[in-house]
Amino acid sequence: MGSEKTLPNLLAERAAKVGHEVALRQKYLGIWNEITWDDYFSKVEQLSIYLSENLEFLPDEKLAIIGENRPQWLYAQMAAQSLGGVSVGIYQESLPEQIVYYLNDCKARIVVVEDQEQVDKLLEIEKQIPLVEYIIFYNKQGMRHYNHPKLLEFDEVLATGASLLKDRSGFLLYNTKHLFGDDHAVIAYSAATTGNPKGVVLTHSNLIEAAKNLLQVDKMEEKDDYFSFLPLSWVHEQVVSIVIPLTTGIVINFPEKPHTVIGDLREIGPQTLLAPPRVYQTLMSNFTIRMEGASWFKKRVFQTFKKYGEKVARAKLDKQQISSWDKFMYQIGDIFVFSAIRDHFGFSRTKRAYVAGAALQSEAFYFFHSIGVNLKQTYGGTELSGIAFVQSDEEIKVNSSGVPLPNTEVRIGENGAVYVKNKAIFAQYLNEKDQKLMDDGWITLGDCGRIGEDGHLYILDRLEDIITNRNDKHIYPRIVENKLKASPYIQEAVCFGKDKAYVTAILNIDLNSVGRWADKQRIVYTEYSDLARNPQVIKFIEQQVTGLMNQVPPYARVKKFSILHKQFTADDGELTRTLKVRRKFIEDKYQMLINGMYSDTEEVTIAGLEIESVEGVSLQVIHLKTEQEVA
Amino acid sequence: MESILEIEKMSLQFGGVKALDDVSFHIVKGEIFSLIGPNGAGKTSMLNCISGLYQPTTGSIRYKGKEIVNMKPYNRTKLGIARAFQNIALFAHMSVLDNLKLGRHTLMRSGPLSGGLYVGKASKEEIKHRKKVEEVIEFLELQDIRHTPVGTLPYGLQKRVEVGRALALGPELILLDEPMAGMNNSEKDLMARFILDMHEVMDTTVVLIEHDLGIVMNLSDHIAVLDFGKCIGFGTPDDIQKNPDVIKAYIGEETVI
Repeated sequence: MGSEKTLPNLLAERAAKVGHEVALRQKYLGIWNEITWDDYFSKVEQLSIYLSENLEFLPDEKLAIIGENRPQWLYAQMAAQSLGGVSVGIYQESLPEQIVYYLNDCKARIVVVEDQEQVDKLLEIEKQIPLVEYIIFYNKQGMRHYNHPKLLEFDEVLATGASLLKDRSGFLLYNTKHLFGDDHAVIAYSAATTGNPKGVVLTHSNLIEAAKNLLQVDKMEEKDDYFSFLPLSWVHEQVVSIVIPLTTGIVINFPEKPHTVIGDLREIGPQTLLAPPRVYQTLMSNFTIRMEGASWFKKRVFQTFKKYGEKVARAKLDKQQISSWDKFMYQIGDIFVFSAIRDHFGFSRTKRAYVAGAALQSEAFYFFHSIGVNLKQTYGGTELSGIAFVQSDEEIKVNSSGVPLPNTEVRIGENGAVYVKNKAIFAQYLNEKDQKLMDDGWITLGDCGRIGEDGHLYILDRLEDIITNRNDKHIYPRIVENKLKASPYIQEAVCFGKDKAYVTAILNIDLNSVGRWADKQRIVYTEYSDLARNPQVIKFIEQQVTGLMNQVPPYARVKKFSILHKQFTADDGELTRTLKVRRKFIEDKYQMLINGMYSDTEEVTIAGLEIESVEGVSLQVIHLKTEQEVA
Repeated sequence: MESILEIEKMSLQFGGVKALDDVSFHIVKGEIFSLIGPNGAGKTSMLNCISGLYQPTTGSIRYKGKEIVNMKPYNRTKLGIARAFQNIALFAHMSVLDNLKLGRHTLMRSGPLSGGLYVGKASKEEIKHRKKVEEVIEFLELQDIRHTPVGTLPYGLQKRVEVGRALALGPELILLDEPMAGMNNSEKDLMARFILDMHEVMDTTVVLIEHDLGIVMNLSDHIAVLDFGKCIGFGTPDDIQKNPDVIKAYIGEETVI
């Protein structure tokens, strides 16, 4: 075995070496409760023996987990893996029919869930998931009157496990000896911007390799803090929350509740942070809004130092020269303003904040670097065991997705697709029919990009999304959309224009910032749909779009757009669970609206979408006037 | 079934006005009990008598078999009777946490000196009480606003904190005066769930004044109906719905045109 490292092996090693040190923290009843490596190990052992003895869990069997980020999530995964099993994380917001798909696809017999909400969901679809025999829940609240035969309570399971262990000491250690690095460890479902999610099978070696590669670029110290708040079913989060602690000893902190994340983040002040662009955008836009409402003095002080912050950010990101005076003023600003802002966000100790899942727009990049947060763009995916490209601390470029991690090769295919090769690449898809992307160890995630002379990867867009307009010009919708999203008032934008004469867009406004603007203009509104259809708001957004489109080459400019009456949501299928836009779905769903934007009409009535719109919702099509000269 | 509170022949008179007139009912331990009736029927007066703000003119109130009619309000609190007010009675500038801790003030033993210096028993006591308060915060899902001043919270949340303040006492009997007034439907649903949980998880006996009859009928084990100070109905929700006097009080008398 020797080099055969597996996650349970690493856990056993760590527990033996530094058993009394803190491994995890969970805030409960207002207090950060610490869990040592010994506790972690023994909980896993208790659960593991129970699964094996009482539930007859077999090697290579799948254990599904649905819940928020909690220590129990980790125990469950590790227990399954220690028996040679595979854990399958399922997004906790998944709708019942999505859960039916996941559970039947991975054929899980045992499901570990958070609470009453998830139990209710599973019992509701009980008939459709005949393979599920046991449901283990770990939050007892509201569960007193449930006595369904499939239900088991986590703490009771652990207690039974503990008594089973009395005559079977060394159970876990014995089992881990029979594990191999090539054993399947995790099934992660890829976000699937098109079609059904695909189960991606990752081995222990894959995950450990991904962690190792990342750690070669960014060193993480023992007892560094990490704040785990993104779904653990997302492989990026898995690698940092589960694998990296095993190899480095960083401490993972779990928030009290999803709605306390902001406050808890500040209390922890983690050294490392990982989040998708939307989190950073929200933080930035909240800050902008708070600043607008601040006192005259505070505003004045911030404005004074902001320009030095921007200069320093540009110096860092664009390699511009900077005078010593500016540097000096930045130092002063750092003491009085920037350190306070960082502290407010919970970034005061942050060595690096990774942007994962998609590209962050450049304004946010400059903003965070101006206040001294080391924001780094990454590129990766489920099939690559998370992060495969990252910007190094010395070379952060706004539009790049970073350089390949050590031991990672990259090439650009003939069609412009980015191909990656390393040892962290997944073993296989769960279903045979999905095996198509692999090519001699190289894999593409379907993104199109280029490699700059600086060795950085620049992602242009998804291959399938590139728009070829009537004049055979290539338009990368993501770039146009990111331009639109640079406005704090536009939350989401989806562009269209395949084989057409011009580009159109469907927009979601940002309820917070537009709402605030509307308050100031004394516009009365009730909810999103009302605000989004207000004539003054439409006029205001039109000005925003017009201004932004001047920065885009004429052929790619949005000529007509429409503000949707509702926000895109994952529940309605318009976004993936990681909040990425599902373009094809949106295109089909709002076909009428898109057609309207390619006709002369100024108002489109779309019907039959939701209950709300029994009689149809009429949406205005806005034709940008400045465009006429160009087009 | 064991009664936790018995009201017998109770009357309350303000000068010539009879706010409560010869009212008798009893509340069973561990149930949800609702007091309903039109405006001015005497519901809040009844709660005031139970919590000790008003002294009934005649009659008796027995709590777990013990006469409490002459007892001071703070002594009743010590027996385990807590109350949430209809008009929010919180300290607007204090945080949610502090308001809830204040709810446990009568249970604190340490003096100003040891408390102020946070030495000896005082610190242990503080930890113990903080734990209880945190359980209430967890229960009512107030974690994210723990340190927010109450005055800046929206109305629905202030109501929840108000209930929390009463609950922090760890009462056996909790009196809730219109906890759902002014709430929208989803807020009402949430509050109804909390009330059910209080009764199921914490084993608290709940006395509820509420105007939303749908909720009252769904939640309550027993209901008493007051009208012009008189108890015109007392029984299970089914009994009450069939009671002709109650129907008359709510819908009015059938008139011949």
